[in-house]
Amino acid sequence: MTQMKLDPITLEMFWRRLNSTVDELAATLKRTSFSTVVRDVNDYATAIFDRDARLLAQSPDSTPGLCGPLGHMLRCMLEANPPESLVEGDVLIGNNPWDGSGHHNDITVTTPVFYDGNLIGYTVSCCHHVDIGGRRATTESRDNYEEGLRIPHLKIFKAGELNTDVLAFIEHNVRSAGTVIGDLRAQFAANHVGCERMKGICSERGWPDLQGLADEIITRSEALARAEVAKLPDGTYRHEAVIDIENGEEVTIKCKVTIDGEAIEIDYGGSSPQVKSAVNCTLTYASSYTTFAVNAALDLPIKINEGTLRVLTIKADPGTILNCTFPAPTFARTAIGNHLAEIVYCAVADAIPERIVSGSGSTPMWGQYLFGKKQDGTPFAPLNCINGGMGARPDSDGVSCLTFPVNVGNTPVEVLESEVPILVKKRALWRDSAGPGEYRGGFGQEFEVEVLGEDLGPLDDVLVSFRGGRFVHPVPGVQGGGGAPNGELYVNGERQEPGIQRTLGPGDSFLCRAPGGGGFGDPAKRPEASIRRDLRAGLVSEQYVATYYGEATLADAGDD
Amino acid sequence: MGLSLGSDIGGTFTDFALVDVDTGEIRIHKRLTTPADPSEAVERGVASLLDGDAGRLDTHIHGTTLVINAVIERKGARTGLITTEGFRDVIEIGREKRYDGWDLKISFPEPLIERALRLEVAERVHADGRILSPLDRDTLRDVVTALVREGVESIAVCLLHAYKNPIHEQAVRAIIEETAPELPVSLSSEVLPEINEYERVSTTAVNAYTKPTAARYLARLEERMAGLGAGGELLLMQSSGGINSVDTARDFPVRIIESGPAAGALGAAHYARLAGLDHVLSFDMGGTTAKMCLVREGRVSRTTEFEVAHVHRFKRGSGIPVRVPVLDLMEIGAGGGSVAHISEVGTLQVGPESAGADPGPACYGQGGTKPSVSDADLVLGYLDPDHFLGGAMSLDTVAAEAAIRETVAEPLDLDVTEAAFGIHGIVNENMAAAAKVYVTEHGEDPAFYTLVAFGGCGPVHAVDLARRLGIRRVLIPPRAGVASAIGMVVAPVSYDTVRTNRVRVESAAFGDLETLFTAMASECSARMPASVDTAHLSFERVADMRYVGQGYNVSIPLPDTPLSDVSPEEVRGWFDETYRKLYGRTYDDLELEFINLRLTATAPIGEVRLAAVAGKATADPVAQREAYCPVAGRFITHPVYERSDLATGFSCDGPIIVQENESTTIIGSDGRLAVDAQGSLLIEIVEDAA
Repeated sequence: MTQMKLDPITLEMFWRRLNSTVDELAATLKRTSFSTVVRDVNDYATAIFDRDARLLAQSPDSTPGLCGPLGHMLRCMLEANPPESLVEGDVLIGNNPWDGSGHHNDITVTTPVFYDGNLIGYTVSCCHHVDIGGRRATTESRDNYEEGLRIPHLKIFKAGELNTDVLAFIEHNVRSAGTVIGDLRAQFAANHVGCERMKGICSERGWPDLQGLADEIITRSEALARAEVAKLPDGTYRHEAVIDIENGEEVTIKCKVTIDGEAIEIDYGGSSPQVKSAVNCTLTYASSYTTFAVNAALDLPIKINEGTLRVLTIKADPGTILNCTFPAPTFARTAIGNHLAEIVYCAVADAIPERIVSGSGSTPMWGQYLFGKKQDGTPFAPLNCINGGMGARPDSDGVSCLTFPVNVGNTPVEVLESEVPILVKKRALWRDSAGPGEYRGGFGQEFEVEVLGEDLGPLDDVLVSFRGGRFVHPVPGVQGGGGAPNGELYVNGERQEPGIQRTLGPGDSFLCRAPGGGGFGDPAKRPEASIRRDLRAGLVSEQYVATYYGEATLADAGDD
Repeated sequence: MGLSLGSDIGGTFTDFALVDVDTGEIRIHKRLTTPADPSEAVERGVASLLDGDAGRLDTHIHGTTLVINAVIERKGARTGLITTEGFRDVIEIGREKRYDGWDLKISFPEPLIERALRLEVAERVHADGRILSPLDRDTLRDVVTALVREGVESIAVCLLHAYKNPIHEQAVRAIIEETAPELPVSLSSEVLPEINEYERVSTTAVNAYTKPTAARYLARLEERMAGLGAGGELLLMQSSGGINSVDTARDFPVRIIESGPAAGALGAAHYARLAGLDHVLSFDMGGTTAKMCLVREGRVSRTTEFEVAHVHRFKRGSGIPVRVPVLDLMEIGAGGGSVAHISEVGTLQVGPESAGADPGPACYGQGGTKPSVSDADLVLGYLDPDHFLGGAMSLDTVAAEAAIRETVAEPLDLDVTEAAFGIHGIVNENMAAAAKVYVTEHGEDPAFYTLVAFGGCGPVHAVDLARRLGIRRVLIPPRAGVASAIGMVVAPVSYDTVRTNRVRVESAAFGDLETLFTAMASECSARMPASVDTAHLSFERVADMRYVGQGYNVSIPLPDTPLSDVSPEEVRGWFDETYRKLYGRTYDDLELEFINLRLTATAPIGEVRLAAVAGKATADPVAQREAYCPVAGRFITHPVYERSDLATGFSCDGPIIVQENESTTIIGSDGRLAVDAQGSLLIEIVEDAA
């Protein structure tokens, strides 16, 4: 049965309804989840697909790492469980990194939606779970089998009946089984609410399915995205970046962006081979960050869906760092994936400067895992994140200490100190840490910690594992803007190499300096008032001003 | 007993409600706000309302936008900050998170205190309250001298863990008083003794920044009232929905940061309570925004998650955080002035842009050409072109139709009625979607609620909004045009306190928690206005709790029994009850911890009876009007009643239109109207009406 073409009022109402449904599911998942990465890092996504597995709506504040791979995951799940084999009450589960979002902790749950006995679509949720077995959070796994439980595309519910065999397998292979199973149940429940909302639309309108609505959404979205891409100058734009990982290792990412009429192709051909450390990206994961970068730059007035995704093709050679092959270890793939937005923006910086942001000192994320026990024996194991500065924009300075492109906030010092036997000595804007430019980058962050002693100190030592980057290859500027200085890490006043783990006792201290953002445009064009403002605030030294903006400016600035 | 007066300064109007507490007789008044000195309009309004009765005035409850405006317009004092060494940038670094993950042009409000005026002093307190390093008094004196030399007019003090041990902050104040005794000082341990340094310094900064402005204004207002010979006590409406003294407002202006919307919801709640309704969703729709608030068993929903001076008005996280108790309002950009436009994908969208007051909707005839919600309401027959604002203004139907035809109907190939109902329907759908999320987040189901509508546009949209929410009952209180001023007259005197005390339930010394509550109760008593007998305060205890390891606090109401007598199992029972309601499950194997204790003291309130509006139980329609009925799907004839003609006991089946000066109530063919004892319109929506 074909539907009448939708009028623009009905279309608006139900398009909005789908978007608010994924928001509703996201809010519920976020608030009921125990996984701190779901809650604080938004490492989750909820989405609605139509009967043909086309994405209709996805939670907008999901991590960039989940921007796009859900559709691929769903299609893989449906290959293993063809639609004609599905019945009402079935629920699918899986966590294959190559099909989905790149590591085992992300478990995808898919619920087929039936209305009047007919399959009308799918609700999908994906969450980063607190544990998935295997080795803990580490880059030291040397293959995918070390990285915990591999869940094939199975039915976790069969016709409404919980598949207790599958659940028992998961339960017996993860730490903190109670919370993992609890969070899985939250996913089942959220998906169920999504099903009800989709069925509600059909019954409210008397539609047999959502295909008429889906066609309109996808067609119009694709047309809009293509029209936006058509505004970009055709051409092939390249950038090559070197990323330091750990132990002196580094990888090269080659990026070729081809804008051709209404389509964009991004090819990472020629990038470094996959590495031993667990920082390898599956193609789905590399695609996610790339899709995020392109969509943020296109700045469409609509949210992502099948239509907006169609303008972009992403390629990478199998066996490379951005398209690793099984069984490469992938746990800490963010260390590489985080950089892709910047790499794409650097490639197109001179073609579409008005749409991009300069390099960010908050890429990749900085932080420390702190493991140990308090005096009373209670263990602690927080991940404390700190952020460098965001890159400058074509019309404004970058924001200081702001996460990008992931979205991870800090832990308040007062909270951290009430949970971990440490004293934070400093959380401050790092002077002279921003890349100069007509618009400068945001300032980076100095974060200094001392381990407390005696009854306030740890029971034994504190094991600190440091994350961060840009120790060797600095944050770049664009359009003539300068780069930011390298990141710095000190333990007890001595410079340290990245990627280390250290055992610290009472009185020991460490200092992290996460870099600022890159500059945008020629520093010579920076207004004197802006330079003077930063000087008065003590954010830049006179020497910095003299070096990057010239002695003359400094002389003028002196009379403020 | 004498007279009680409520006065509320809004952006455009200052509203007044004067109640004779003995008779319940009420007089209302409205006049233009005087932005240069808002106390001027207050004085004039009070003078004209009291008219010789000044000596009989018992209480004057006042609400003002002064504090929030000072922050938004950056017109507060030149303010300095003294903070712990190593942490002067906390106020600028914030939480390091992007409130909109897709926005590459993201920006945040500039801190209220510039970096050069944020100075550090060596000292350190541990999370458990122990002093790890002493306060460096010599440096401190230099710091104070430096700030004075910089010409600061107010100082904020925020030291790490001062919520746990305020002794260093108090010492800082003592030294400032030695050097500059006239300089107002705001201590974070007094403004907000709560963990989380960013939110605490931000709130303390707002307090310090607005303190001189508030003090000047309050002095002027007191002077003006004295000049009128107005007796009685002047009290201020706080954002929490309670009122308190001028002294409290002077010390903590941050507590009165946004009082108008709070008072409006209280006014609605008052009429709902008198109507015997205990589950209410208040709905205030004006020219640019719609605000909703849950009221359960007479209690307005409250929160401490509040922000001001947003970079993006409707984006949470883009403003300056202020952690004071405020009404938990859901606000969206939907009002009579919301503009309809065609989106980039060819669909019809409404808002959040507003036509504002000037030029306003096309129908105002002031040159506006963009079709707005009010234009649609006019075309649909919901507004009477000759009876807008009681006839004070006439509306231009031709201009409204033209705007809708040209901008919406023709480009989308619709007729004008379809387009107009599209605009009306989409704005209602937007409000319904936001309301559903808001109500669900509180663990409630809208179907069990009554919608209480006020504001110029609320009654026009209420019945259709209710249908979309599955709500079956709508209440339209009388005198909706001055709901805030009435809310002030019926609001209780109250004071809120908070203390962070982070401890696991299993190992908590409950006696210590009780001691803390006792100290908080004394603080509340000390903060009560002179007229309150502190022997009769009632106290409401709440604990912010969480599972150890989970990041969100849940506010758990505690019973009145002293905590010293309870067991951890009982506490878990209280926690489970609330947690299950919100999230549908509990985790019995996880430990619980206390984070904050909250105590609210409320003075007993005399029952304020407001006289019902006169009128007749069997009134006749004053007109018949063709208006669009969504139930019928076409224009049908609606009898039009004048609200002042309707008295208690009047009832009638829809379709009906009830008009009054401030608004118009639209009741479709599925509605049944009855007028209750207070003169509120109670509308039942009948499920299967044709």
